[in-house]
Amino acid sequence: MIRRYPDKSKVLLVNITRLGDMLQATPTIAGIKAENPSCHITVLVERQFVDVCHVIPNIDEVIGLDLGLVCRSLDREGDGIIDAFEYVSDLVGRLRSEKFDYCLNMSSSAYTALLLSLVGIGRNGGWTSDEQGYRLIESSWAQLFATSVFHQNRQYNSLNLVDVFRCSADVEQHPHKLLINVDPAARAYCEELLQRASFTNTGPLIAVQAGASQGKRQWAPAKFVELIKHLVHEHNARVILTGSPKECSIVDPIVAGCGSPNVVSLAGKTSIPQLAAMLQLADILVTGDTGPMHMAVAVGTPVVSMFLASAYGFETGPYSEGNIVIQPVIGCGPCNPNKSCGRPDCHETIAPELVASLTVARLKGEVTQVAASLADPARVIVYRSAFDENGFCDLVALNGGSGDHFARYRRAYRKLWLDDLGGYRFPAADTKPPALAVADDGLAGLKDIVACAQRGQELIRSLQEGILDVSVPAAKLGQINIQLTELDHHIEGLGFQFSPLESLSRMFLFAKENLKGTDALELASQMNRAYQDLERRCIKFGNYFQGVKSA
Amino acid sequence: MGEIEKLAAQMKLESERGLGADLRLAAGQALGDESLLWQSGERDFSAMSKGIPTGEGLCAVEIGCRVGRMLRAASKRFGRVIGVDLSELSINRARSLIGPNSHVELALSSHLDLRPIPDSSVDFIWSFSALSTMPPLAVASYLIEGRRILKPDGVMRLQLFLGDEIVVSGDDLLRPRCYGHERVRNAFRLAGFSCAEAENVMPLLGGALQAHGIEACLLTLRPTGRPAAALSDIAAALEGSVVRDKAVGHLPPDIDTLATLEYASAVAEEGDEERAKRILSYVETCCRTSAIDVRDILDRMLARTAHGPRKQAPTHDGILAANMQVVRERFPQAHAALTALPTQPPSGVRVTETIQGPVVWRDASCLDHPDKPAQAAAAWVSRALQDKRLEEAAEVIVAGFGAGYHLEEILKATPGKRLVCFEPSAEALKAALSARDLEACLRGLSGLEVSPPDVAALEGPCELLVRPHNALLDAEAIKPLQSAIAMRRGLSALHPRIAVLGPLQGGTIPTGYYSQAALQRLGHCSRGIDMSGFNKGYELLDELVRGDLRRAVVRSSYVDSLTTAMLESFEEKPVDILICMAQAPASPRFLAEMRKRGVITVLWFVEDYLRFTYWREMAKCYDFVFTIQKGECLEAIRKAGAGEVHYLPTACDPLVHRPVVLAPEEAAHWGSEVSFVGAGYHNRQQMFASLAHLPFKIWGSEWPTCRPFSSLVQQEGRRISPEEYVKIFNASAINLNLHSSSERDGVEPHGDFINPRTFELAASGAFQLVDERSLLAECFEPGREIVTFRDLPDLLAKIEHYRARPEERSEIAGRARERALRDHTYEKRIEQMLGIILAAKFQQLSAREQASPWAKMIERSKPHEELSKRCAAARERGEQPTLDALASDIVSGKGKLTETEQKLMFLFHVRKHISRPGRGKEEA
Repeated sequence: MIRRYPDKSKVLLVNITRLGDMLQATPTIAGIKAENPSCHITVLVERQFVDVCHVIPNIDEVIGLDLGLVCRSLDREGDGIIDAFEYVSDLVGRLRSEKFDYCLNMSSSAYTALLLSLVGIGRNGGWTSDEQGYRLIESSWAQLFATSVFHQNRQYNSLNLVDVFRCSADVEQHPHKLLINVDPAARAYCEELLQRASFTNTGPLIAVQAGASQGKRQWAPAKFVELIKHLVHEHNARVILTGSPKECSIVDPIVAGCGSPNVVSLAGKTSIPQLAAMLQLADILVTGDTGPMHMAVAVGTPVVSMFLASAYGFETGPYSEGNIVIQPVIGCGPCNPNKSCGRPDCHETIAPELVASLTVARLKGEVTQVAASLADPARVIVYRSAFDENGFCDLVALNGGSGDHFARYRRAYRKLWLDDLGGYRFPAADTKPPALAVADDGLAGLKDIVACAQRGQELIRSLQEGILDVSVPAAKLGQINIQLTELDHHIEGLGFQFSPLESLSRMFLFAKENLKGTDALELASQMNRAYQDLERRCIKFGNYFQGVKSA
Repeated sequence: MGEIEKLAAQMKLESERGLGADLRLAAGQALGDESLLWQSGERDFSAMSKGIPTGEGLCAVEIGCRVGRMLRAASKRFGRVIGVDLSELSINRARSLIGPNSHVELALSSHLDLRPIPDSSVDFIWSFSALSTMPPLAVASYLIEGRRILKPDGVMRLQLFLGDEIVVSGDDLLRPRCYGHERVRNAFRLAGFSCAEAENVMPLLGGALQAHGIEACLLTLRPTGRPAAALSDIAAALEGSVVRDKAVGHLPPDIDTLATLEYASAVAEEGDEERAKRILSYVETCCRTSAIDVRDILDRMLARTAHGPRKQAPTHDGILAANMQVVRERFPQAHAALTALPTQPPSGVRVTETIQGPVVWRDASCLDHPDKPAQAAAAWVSRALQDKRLEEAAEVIVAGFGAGYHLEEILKATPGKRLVCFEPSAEALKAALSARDLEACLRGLSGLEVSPPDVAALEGPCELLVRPHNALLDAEAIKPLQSAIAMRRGLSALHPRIAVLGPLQGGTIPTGYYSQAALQRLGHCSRGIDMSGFNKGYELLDELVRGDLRRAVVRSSYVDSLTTAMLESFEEKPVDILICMAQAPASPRFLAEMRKRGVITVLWFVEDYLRFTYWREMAKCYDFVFTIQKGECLEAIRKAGAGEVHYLPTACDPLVHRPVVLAPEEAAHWGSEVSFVGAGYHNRQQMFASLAHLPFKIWGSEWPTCRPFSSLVQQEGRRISPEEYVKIFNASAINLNLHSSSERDGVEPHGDFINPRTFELAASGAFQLVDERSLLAECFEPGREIVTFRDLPDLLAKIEHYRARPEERSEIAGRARERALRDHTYEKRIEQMLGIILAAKFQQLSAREQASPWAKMIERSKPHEELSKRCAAARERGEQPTLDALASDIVSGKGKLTETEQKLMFLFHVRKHISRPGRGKEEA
């Protein structure tokens, strides 16, 4: 694997806002510790997640960022702004005093980027910002993440975020699973809780997480009722519904709708460590793409998970072998997470019977195939999570992939990025020109982009010559710059025109955004590398795409 | 529950809770000596009822009788005495204290009224100390009720604190208020009273207040007519634009504390040290101010000496001669004024002796403390010097010489400062010079003036201290000085945010623009609110609705919606001073709301007050009205309820009204031997028809289309823009300027005010012939700087004369321009206007400034230099104290962001992120 900063001694991980994100960072944290056993790892999280960090192994120190306090101060306006300002100043001062030598910002927000720019840590694996306030993403892996998530190229990506985080931090050794410590006292509490429940069934203990972070990602309560009734009546199951106190309003009607002593609500009754213990006691978890899903994975409980609306299984699916991922096939999905949805049609593609059968099948053992009659691949694809030969998490379709038009591009991109960014080799990577004659409409622009990349390299050569030759007037250099700018606009345009290629053009643009330094020659040489990367990646991508096709 | 009921309920609560907060009373009660209560009641009622007819058949009412301290005394002089209070607890306490008394009745007033008492049935109403703690609305209510129950020849006597206004939060029911003289008189007028006398009752409440520019006054009111205004208007007149912010409640001085201290001092002097000490300890624990005062009084107790009746002090010619010698050497102007006085002092001025030396009196007012002048002067000075501004001032002007004790104290306390004394009464000064050896004091002064010193000539920061009595006696002479000083410090210290509200239409629109431009050039944080765009809507309504009544309805609802829009706009971006130009769409609701928000409301009424009379209804909505007329106009608008009324003519804007060089063809187009720009009013038509034989061009609208005007009026009588008329002024040999009149022929014989065109022509360097106006000579010297005409033959003769004399024209025009640029620019006018406003409202603006979140922010941000600068800059821009305002000019990609900028951007993005619905990890 290609690694930028393998050695670390004082590490800051910034992962501000979500329980799931924190859990998804655990393999990275474990990997850093494994590769640098004496390093000190500090995590900066939003204050409410400080407790969660205490049950995550390998963290040496936790700093809580009280965003609520900041916002309350800001809401007061007036001298509240000064309070907030002083809070930030104190925080920056404290972070500076730690003298971190490496930082991985796993949060993509503008404010964490600004914060890290203020702290001024020399080596970065994620988002930061430059002295003018512009976003900086140094690591190519983090650029790849931004390319897929921000620019609607998500369907072309098959790399799990856990691996992307890990690679952004140059971590090679990792546990292939998420990690959380289960507190024995919490486990005892949960066992007692289960004992007190008056289950009449004696079958498997099935946990159900009905709530989700957004309404549009939450499967309808009526469907949960149908699913649970089936499991209780047909499979002798005992069902526990998990959730936060806020989620009682979702859970309670489901429990009432089931009307069975074998369905019990635990919403609001467990702390984070207790929830981990409860999920460990369960035989399986049925859920959406949620924090509890990652927690179940971390405690080794298999999951059956539905990726609705903006959720996308390849990106944030369960990070361990043998889980079930259900992904609707629908033109609008995965949708923009920042937009609400008035009519989530994707919910209709998943029937309660399907979820019930998959749950039962997974309880019985590994699932390797699902009949198309049960899950129509034109409406929904059922995957099984697995690790590939390079140790990267992947999803394998169990009901055939006929509905998935993106699969071929996804396979090609997977190979491209593992090869080009990770240094993993695959056959047919470097075959030259013939690969460009790809007979696919989506790839028709590939040749044009390659031509642009080559033109860019030519222009850079004249620029470099001009810089060295004092007799060349500044206006000439200016002209070259203008040509380069126009060329870049053209490359960006080609990405828009041929959407399967946008990941390539976007990665190139990110590289140009992240040029460093002020020396003209140095900048020119960085620019040249960006054009070279673009050309090389286009050729590799074409070849891998053909390879996928022929396979 | 209405506002009155709510207020009454609050007041009742406070009154009952605060029986102990009535410090004087509490101090008395604490001693458990009931006889003292009746003694003090007897003493105070004698003062209250001095000169009032008493008798068995007469009825007297006390407003706010509390436990009935004065009722027993009153019952000895009146057949029927009614004590009114809003607290049942007080009434019951009074009942048990007074016991059976057939003359005394007690009545509960739970709605701030005097309801059980019939109309026109009472001979004497009094209120002692109760009204001073009431909010203006309650005072107004009692004024109206008092007017109702009083017989036409009855008298109402109120004790109020008058002098330097003390800003008390609107809902503060404990702290006494101190009103300006003008303000209470105005409120009384609106309530249907004339205020016959205002007597200082200092002996009752003590000299400590006097040292703070406050007088405990007894005001004698007599009915004049029915109340001329509604309750809320009277309350508003009293309240003015008193800041309602709670943060200003602690402003010194605290009248109660001072009064109680004085009370303690009096008790001590009567010989009961033990009791005085207990009162003092009460003050120390209950009042937050002035450990100094407590110590001061303890000292006094120790040094207590008896003193006899006031002796006339001997004056010594030798002392006078020695003092005059120094005055002659050092202050020749003052010397000249003093030597010009008759040998015998006027009857009102006298000198009396005290244990600490002689003091000077003017009529009933002692200019020093009547008993302990040196000690009081030291206390006054030490308190005055606590003001930070004085510390920073290089020069201090003291208004009032008195017998010079305070001047000696200031010289002692601040040896490095330049000290100038201004004593408006040469007689009083001379009396002082003949009574005390003031040689050292006079040598210490750097100026001694009997006419107001020229503040503009002073360099460096300069402050003014006004002796309490001089503030009352010499208000007219001191006011301009106060305003000049306030102007000097106001600009840098107060950051007033000023808005200029323009009219929907009409000739005042440009005046609004020019005023706003002047404010900008003077460096004020100001915004012009141009309403002229809304005029189109107004006109469209007229097209839409034809019936008069319907039209009136929709017009008023249109103005009402504009009011709402403006109120919202000012909520978003508040101001401290609102200057409304004449005819601005400022409704009473709008102005009342702005005043409630603590905004100072100003009307620049640049109209003829006889022709446009809407000031009758609107004047009371303004704290200041500036007019272009003097004399009766000022008085009439004052009577209509305006806070203050001042003369302020219009002016020129030198950036617009200036000489311009025109190409020959342009000069030919715009120019003429004789020109006139303006609308075709009756008198102009009548007069200018006789000029048709001249090379004469008329520009402007509303002219007849018949002969001879059809050949004189240019471009079909379209409206001419300011840029265009400046070209006309410049290109014409003689510009006529005839003030408009709809009623008269030719020149208005009693014309007073000066139109803007007079100043604009002058500033443009153009020659004008203007009709005679009574106020013109104050602005331009006729014959030298300007040429006037009195009628048509005079005009024709002068046109004839000046057509032939281009040099003479150009000399006069040159002098007119010079004068206009020196004295008559909008900058000058705005400075004058703000000077007047600041002189009266300095404390209010300063309290607002201190209470403003910006002040706190800037103070808090001091450790962060750049942030502090950003706060100051945003405030200068008139922004609200928000994060957006602080971050508004930070732009990525315009160079390196500073650390402060990065931190602000961090906060900006945190808020954006957190407030986003369904915030998550993804961010586009």
